[in-house]
Amino acid sequence: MSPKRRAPEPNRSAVTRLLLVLVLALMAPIASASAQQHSDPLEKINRPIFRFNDGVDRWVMEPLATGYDFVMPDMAQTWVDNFFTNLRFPIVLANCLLQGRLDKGATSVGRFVLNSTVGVAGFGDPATHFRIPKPNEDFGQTLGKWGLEPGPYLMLPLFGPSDLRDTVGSSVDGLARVWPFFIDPVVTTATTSAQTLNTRSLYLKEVRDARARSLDYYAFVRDAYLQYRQSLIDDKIGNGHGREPAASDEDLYFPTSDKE
Amino acid sequence: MKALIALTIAFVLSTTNTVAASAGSETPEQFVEKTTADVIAVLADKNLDHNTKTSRLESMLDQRSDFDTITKLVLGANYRQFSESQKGEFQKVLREYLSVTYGKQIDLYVDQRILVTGGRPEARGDYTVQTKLVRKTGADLSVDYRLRQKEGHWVLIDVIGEGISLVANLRSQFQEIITHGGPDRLLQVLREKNANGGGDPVPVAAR
Repeated sequence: MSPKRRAPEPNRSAVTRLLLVLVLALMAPIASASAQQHSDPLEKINRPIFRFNDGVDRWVMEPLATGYDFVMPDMAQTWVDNFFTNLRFPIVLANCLLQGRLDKGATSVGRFVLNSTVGVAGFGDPATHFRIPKPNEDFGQTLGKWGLEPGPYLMLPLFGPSDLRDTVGSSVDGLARVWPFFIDPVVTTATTSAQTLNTRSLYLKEVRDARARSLDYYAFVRDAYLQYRQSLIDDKIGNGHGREPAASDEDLYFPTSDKE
Repeated sequence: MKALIALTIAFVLSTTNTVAASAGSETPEQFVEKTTADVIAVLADKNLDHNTKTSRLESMLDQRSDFDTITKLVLGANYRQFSESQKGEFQKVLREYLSVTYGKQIDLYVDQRILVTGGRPEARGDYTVQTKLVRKTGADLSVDYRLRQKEGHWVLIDVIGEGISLVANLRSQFQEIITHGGPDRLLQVLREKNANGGGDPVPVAAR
């Protein structure tokens, strides 16, 4: 047998993992089904993870967020949300450029400058007040624009719904976050927790409603997630522009049962 | 998360978003403008109680959406699995489900405006009207309405909030239930949901 194995260097193993995921993602088009029939070959694994996530949310996140929502003024919650949204600027800009959208890139620069100055370090959002559009781009969308298929739907423990493409996308976006490199890990962990809690507190009612009214909460979340992500990639949301009818619309609005 | 808000709003609007009027030469944009204006008028009317509002909005829904089509769309290929009586029953419980679950939202209406931002022709004569829901707090939401021509006028067949189609979302859930239990199971799940008033969240411990 082989002699002593070298312990893997931590950095290299992270990179290797990322590469592995990338390779898998590139293979994904072969595995993925049509747009309407969501690809969920991992449902048997995803469902238990979803139940776990939902349990954590009900028993930990929701009570915490409810308490937080009670003590924090609404205005402060919005400020915190604005602050973190503003910090995403480098990621948004990079992805606008990767998608060749100079117009959106320029808009995001404008927003960042205005919100960081007039908006006092990003706590305010004067850009929205002046009706400056809010580009919402990330690397998952960039990969989608480049023609990569979403691959299988994934339910990530604690992180929630994703798909292979978005998992790769958010890992890459994570690397692009500037601050973790020079700020103490304790601070970054605390800020990330604060951000998560704040975000959760803004959606208390929506999540309760969704849980209550859905017939199959898992399928509801999966479909909402996948549709929402696809719409972002197609730039269908909130731009007021026409778009080409998507191929997937055909099955949705003219199902075969209709042609009797 | 934003998607969830949008979906909620899409659901509310889909159950409420219709109004009696003869269409005739009405453009799709006019249809949506008039419809949303009339819905908001009912929602914002402080002299009406919950039940009056609900019944008015329901009758608007019946007149200006096409429930036969919606029934087919939400079932997709599964429609053929349903017997005639199951189809009739399904349509009835689906309508009740939408009314019961989203009717609750009626009283939560706060000052909102809906602006038509554009429209586009779709395949085979359908039309999508794009709107923006402007709220007092929070970001604007994009809500699109998919219309189809029926007997010379426009009818609503889907509402798409922040890119999430109500019809597609329901189809995905129904598909899951039909796969595991067939049409009868779906009817049963819907009836149970309707019976407990649109499904207040069941406490985890009771599961």
